[in-house]
Amino acid sequence: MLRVVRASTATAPNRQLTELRARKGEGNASWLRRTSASSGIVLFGGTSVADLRLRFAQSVFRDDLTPSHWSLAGLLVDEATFLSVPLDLEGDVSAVPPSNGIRTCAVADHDDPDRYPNVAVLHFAAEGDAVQSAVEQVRRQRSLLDIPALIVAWLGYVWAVDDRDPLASGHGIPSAAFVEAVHSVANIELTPGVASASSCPEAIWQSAKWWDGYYRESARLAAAPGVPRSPGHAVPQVPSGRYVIRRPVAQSAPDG
Amino acid sequence: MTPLPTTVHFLGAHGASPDGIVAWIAAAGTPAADLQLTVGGRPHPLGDSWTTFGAGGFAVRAQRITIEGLPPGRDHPLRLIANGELVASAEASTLPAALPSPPDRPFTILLGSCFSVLQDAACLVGAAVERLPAVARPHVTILCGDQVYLDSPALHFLACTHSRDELAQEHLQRYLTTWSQRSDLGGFQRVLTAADTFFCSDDHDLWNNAPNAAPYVRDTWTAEGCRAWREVAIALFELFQAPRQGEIFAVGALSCFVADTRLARTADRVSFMTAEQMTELGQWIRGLDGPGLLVVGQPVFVGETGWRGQFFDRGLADYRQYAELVRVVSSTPHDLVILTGDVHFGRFATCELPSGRRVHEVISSPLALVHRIAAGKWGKAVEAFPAVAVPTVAQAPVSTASYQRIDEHFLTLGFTGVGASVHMDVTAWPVRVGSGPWGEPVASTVLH
Repeated sequence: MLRVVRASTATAPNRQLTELRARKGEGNASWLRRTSASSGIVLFGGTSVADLRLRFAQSVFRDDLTPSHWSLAGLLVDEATFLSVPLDLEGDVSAVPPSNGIRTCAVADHDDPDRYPNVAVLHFAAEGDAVQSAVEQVRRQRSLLDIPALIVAWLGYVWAVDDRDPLASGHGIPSAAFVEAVHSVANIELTPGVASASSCPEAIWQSAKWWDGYYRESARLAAAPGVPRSPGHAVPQVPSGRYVIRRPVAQSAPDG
Repeated sequence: MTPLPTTVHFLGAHGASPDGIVAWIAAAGTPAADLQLTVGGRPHPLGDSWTTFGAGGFAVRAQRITIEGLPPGRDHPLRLIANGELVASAEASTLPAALPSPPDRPFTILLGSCFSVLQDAACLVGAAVERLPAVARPHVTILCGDQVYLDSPALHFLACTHSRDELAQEHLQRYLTTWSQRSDLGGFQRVLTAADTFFCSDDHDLWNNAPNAAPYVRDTWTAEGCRAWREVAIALFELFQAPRQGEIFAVGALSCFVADTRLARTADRVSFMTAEQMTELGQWIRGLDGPGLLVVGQPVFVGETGWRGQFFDRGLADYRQYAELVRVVSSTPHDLVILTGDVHFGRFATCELPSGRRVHEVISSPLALVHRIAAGKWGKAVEAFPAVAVPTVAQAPVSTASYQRIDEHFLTLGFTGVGASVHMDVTAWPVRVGSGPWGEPVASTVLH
């Protein structure tokens, strides 16, 4: 099998990605408020069986082959809500195609640190609304990214209907594929080490942690004199962010 | 030769830049006195200087006109009008100034090789190109060798020898048959006029295993026969395909070098391209400020063929100059994609160099198989690049993707730019309906 991930040549992790420890008994909503983040990418690592299967599937993206810390990616709209593509079934399934699977999620629903022990907030774009504006394009153009097809592929894996890892056949994890597609429309490469079809939260995490040199170069090219900025394009920056990993290796929920 | 009933005009776009295109105009017979060229609907003067190739009292004349000062990334369809009637047309466009970003249509290259017109009586190749969905229509077509099989049918060339003039007549006839193939549904002319087209040669644009003698081509058994064949074939290649070797075009940070590894090949296993072209190739690679595409007539991820190569098909690794090519490729400051054909199968392989850069090799062959005994036997790429020891170059592992084809097909390569990255999506398209999925994903990767 061809290696789907290319290693960064960086010898040290990105210093602009730092840990913000959780306070005793602190929920994720409170932790996010302390980061002051109201935009950017949010990652969650959950402990349900579905989350664990997603985290396990991404282990091929890690040198040590341990499960990923992350199972869900989203775009923060404000301190309380984010856009994402969770696999949880909710409401009328007829609503999935018209919205291309994209849903507005509440941070409060992801507050429980036992249910979601790992959280990160990451910024790849400088201030501006280009990334948010790109959401509508991904929502309206299924031809740009067919998220329902990814949902079907991953539900099949999560439910063990088909035990082949969808990442190996180029089906990205829906929430991460959505986040990556939005950044791609805004001209920001979110996973420079991975073919876009294999998007996953772990790849986004690896980009923030190890590919700062690439983004430094991207920012330099974008700021070069005489380079016009296309409408709808965001300004790339060296990734920055905060994270807390309460459970570094996937474990079952306490009552499991 | 059988003369064509009246003058036949040809038109194509041979090369492009962000602000210009190159119109190729040819006439088999006497060009119409009032011949007019329009570019994007506007008249453009023809040149006075025609290059002429004559054989058996018949002549083909061609000229190339560079049209500059055009806006980038726009279609500028070419039309040729004689006696008030449209006699030839071709798609042409200036290259975009930068790679498109999603959701715009990718910058798309069509890659094909090995077209035997005698085996495509139904004009299927052109019909398949015509059927491409809009999102996969090419901006640029690259034909990377064996656009004509001058040594086919084999029995004819085994049975007879030819004078220089007879060779000129037969080879010109083959070019005219190939370049004029058209039907309501397709024809090779559709391939040649679908987009800005770049050509590189391989052996059958001369003869099998040229410049070495081919067992079934008696004319090549003598030095004099080889010389006559070579002069005729190269003159026709330059007239119909590429007048110079080592063309370069670029779209944003993506740059392409169309090399030629056959026309200047030596029979003594020393070199397959001129020293000047190798120097230009080295300069191009060193100067890359983004991913590069290198077009060659034969695969690079190969080992030596040994004694068999003298009689059948020598590969690039059989030549002393291969070491120089390996050094140049291994020194690439960015990812490199080698585009090639020749072997009558489709393959995708990747080498991760010690520098961290990747070299992908994409093989697209054949468009129309010359004979069933030449059907490809798919094989993995060599385990390491280079497969032969080259001083000062560390070997690096090569991974061969599971994708494989041995049917008649071509590829499209779609490129989009996101940040400092280039996304490449490779798709295979079968020529014959039913021989495979219509639009098979081959590879999707990010180039740096």
